[in-house]
Amino acid sequence: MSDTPKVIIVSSDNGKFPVEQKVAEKSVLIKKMIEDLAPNGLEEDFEIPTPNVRSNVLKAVLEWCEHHKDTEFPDEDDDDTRKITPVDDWDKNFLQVDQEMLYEIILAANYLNIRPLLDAGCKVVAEMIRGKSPEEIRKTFNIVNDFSPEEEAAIKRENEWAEDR
Amino acid sequence: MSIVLDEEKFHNIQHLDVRDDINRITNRFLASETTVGDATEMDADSQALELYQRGIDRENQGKMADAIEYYRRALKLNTNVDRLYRGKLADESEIQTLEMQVGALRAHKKLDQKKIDRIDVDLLLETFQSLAISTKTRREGEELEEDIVSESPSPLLSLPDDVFLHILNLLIVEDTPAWFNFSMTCKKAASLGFHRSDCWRRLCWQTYPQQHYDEQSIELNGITRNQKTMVVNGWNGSWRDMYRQRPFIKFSGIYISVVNYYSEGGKSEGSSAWTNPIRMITYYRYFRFYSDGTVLKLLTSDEPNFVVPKFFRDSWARNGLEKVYLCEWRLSVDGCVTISGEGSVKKYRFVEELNIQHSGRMRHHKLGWISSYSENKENGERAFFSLKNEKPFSFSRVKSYSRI
Repeated sequence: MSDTPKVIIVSSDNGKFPVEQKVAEKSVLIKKMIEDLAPNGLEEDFEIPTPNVRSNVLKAVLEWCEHHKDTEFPDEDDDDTRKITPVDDWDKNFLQVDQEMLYEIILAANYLNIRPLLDAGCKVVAEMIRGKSPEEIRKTFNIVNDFSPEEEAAIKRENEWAEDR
Repeated sequence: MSIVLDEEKFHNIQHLDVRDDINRITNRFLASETTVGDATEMDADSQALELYQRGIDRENQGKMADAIEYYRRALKLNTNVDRLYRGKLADESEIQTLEMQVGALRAHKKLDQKKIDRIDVDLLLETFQSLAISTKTRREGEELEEDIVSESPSPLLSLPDDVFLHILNLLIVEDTPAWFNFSMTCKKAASLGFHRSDCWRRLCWQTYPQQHYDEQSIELNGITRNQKTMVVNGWNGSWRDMYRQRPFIKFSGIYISVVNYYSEGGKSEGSSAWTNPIRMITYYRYFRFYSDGTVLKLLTSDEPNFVVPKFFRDSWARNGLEKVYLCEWRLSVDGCVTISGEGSVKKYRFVEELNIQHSGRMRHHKLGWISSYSENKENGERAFFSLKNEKPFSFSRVKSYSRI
């Protein structure tokens, strides 16, 4: 088994993370890269730099890929899914991190094109938004209200009808 | 719909003000009514007051025997409890006037309405859009992580637009008010949530496929479930225009029509009164629509705060509601809703025709009456009901209804 070539993912700060091909291919970006550059399959270790991802983020992302290496994710068709599947418990636990780490994981998932991880991250953020007033949301996410009072009132008046459906 | 500067903060301040006033009044009340401020006496008085209040409640419910029992116990504690009670009422009305004054004060704090009216929201959002794009291009030029740490006070806002939109989409599907609240937080959020077509597109896809159209609209008017075709053919590809203009039924709440009218009664025999007695009649009509094409219908004198928490398709009877009918609803292309089903008389089918209307800035918010009739199931004969007293229905969102 030790002869099976690995995919070595390199973080922005030069951390090297060797993983099984199957794990690495949870990332559609990496999968495509391997298809393009090694169309006949991997013959030796394959190094992929990810200049946007710090090593502790990459480590977390790969932990997720490892855990889900055998999970089949359904294709979510953009226009027709009316219901949203809830985040599974393992993911929820996995994403119990501080906000900054959460965003970095989301960004990495976006960059590496790991759709289910991106989804789970966004769902966790959405969950933090739900049930809050605009002011409470600003507090939670440290958002500065950059509207003038009149602008805020006008935008609210124009769009508030659309809340109900 | 009064618009108030920094509503939250302002509300809190006022809340405190009112509470102070209430404290002041209760203190005064206690000082004046309890002669020496003796603690036990005060307790006895408040106990007497409470018993007296319970007596009044029972009397209002028509339970005279219970009421008298409470009155008796109250009087035992304090023979002047009735006067005490009246004093309390007077003070409470003082609190009410105070609250009204605060309300007026609130109204004074209104923003310059003319200034708001002059704002063209579309143009305004357009300017925010360039702002959203500029942060985006800046981000692409730099390293992502640096961007997160240094640039914006809120790392959330530094997420790429498509990720941001993905979150907004999730909010629309799960909890539409959360999409609105989030989009109201700052310029970037407003630009992405209200100006870009993505969210309106999602709203359309969430809403229209759940509507139930009548056959005519499907066959003759070509209503299709493919929203893309609809928006291209009917609204020049503008999702927002379609959502604003194309009528739909809302499921996350209840439609209520409140009817008030007077009826004149006759004089009793031998009465020497000059006028006839007048009775005011209030009743409510309720509709709760479901996305599977059914609708709950109720006509009652019970008030919304009694009905709303019980008005569920599978538990209304258990919850103590009566004469609720499960009917069918169909929508036509021009926003006419036909509701039909069983009613109080087995022999007939009851039909209501209403149309979806805007109410000021609240769009698709009202149901106006077109007609109401019963149809004999055997011979199809129709008898139309008078709509003289009927009032349009208004939509109210109900939190517990939105999770179906």
